Amino acid sequence: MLRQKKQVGSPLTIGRVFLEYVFMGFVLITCTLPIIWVFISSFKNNMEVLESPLSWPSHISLESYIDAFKIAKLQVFFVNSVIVALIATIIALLIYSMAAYAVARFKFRFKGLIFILFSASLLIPVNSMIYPIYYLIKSVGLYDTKAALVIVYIGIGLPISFFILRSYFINIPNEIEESAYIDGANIFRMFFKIIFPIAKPAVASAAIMIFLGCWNDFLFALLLTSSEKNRTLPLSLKYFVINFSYDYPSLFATVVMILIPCILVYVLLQEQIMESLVAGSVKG
Amino acid sequence: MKKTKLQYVLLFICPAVLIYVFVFLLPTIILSVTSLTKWNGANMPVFVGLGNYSGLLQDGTFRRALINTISMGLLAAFVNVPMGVALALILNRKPGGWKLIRSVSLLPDIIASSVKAVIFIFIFNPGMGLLNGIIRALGFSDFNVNWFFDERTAFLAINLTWIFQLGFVVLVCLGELLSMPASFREAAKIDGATDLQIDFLINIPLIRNIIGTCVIVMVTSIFKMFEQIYLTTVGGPGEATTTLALLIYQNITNNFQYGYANAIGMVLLFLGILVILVVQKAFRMNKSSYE
Repeated sequence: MLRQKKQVGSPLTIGRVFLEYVFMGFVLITCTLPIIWVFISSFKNNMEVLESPLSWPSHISLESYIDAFKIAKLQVFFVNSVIVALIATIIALLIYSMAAYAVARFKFRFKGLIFILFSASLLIPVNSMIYPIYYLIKSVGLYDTKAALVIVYIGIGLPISFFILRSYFINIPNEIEESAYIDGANIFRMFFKIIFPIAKPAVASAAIMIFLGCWNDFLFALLLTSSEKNRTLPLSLKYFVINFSYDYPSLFATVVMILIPCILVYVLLQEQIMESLVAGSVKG
Repeated sequence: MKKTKLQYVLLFICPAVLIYVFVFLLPTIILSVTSLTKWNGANMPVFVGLGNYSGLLQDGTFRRALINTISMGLLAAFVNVPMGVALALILNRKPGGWKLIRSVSLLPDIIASSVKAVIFIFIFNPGMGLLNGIIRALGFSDFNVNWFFDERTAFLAINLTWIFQLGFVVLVCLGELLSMPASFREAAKIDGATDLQIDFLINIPLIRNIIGTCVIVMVTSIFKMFEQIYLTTVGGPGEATTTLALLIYQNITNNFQYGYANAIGMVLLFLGILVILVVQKAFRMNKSSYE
């Protein structure tokens, strides 16, 4: 505040500040206008949509939403997405926190090798390996199952969650476990009762990263599933674009319904999401 | 540590190693080995040496995809990241509404790429689309560009879907700026430095490492971009928007050329590693910011 008062006089500074606000306004518009526009358009009828992109709906009708639900079977895909993302996130958290803990705490043979291999997975763009992964999934007989997606999503979550968790475990003081050992706790009880709860912030960060990755994935859902009963929400969009073809309001409504849970979660968990994005990149 | 722990350590680490082997190690091996073979999935792979790679050199579509992919990477490094850094520096001065802008700028990162792709299908639609609607409302009443399907604008349109997505860069750089000791800046301020001088001479050098990280993350994520092309232009019109990521998928699903697709995969993999090495060198990322 002090700074602004001091420099207010110079026309150059005023010009710069003005440009800065223009830039901020531009960002505000590009990030929100598309979503707001889709939201408003979802209440129009098809005629109104085709007539003008900038008009308001003549009356608020929920018809497009009802149509979208009837044709789109959104609830099925929504449940699929939730199941796959939740299971993958929980399993990934469990096995990566255990592995990260072992690597952070114990000395054992091949520890260095494991660390290097896990680090290298950060560099591998999974997109380059879509066929090998598809081939492996098919040869173990998991093609077109939710399990296939769960396995691949767990794998994709490895680099980020392993690093977030490991760097957190390293900073937990050793004394905590030593006193637990003296009290006769075994390693499993100690890990799940004592260490895991302490590492809650890191676990939450990793959970958000994994969950967002699963929830938003399109490519592997496209590659590894074919039937409707295993279709996830992002993949379903591909079929809506074809099926609804020119029923724009219903497509708008579908998009809004896919967006709402995401935006709600973002608004509720904003600080935590921001923290995990930062943690994921800095450690990575 | 005690000896009895070995079996526990194994129990702790095995599940993660198994997943690693299945999702990273085996695929990487299959990828590199089969990229040297002719393989259509039905028959056993036939060793062809570097045949696939020399095939790539003569493949016009591949060349176009490579150029497009690299161009998009350059756009990410030289347009997207600098814009994000600029916004972070502005927000670092905490102008009115800076928290709102920070939150809002992250919105596109939270939304699934497939949803974004569909939203942009609407926005760039020539008739009922938002962009043409705005341009017409500004007075160009017969403006009618089919953004995604006009050879001249398709590549531009694809890049417009992500180039203003600054949230991640803003968040990471701003976090770093806010966590830095204010003493440098205060000293410069007392010496009469302007805000811009402080930004260029103090702030940017101080967050050099994190800017490098942002370049790596953004460029590699652009290399991976798939939905925004697959759901909109499918690489067209012609080859205007074909990228390596899309080409791999097309070679698998349309041509059943797995060896060839995997050779493209190898190129993408090396491109990713190259970016990391180049950026680390360029930003001297192994050195501390205070040197």
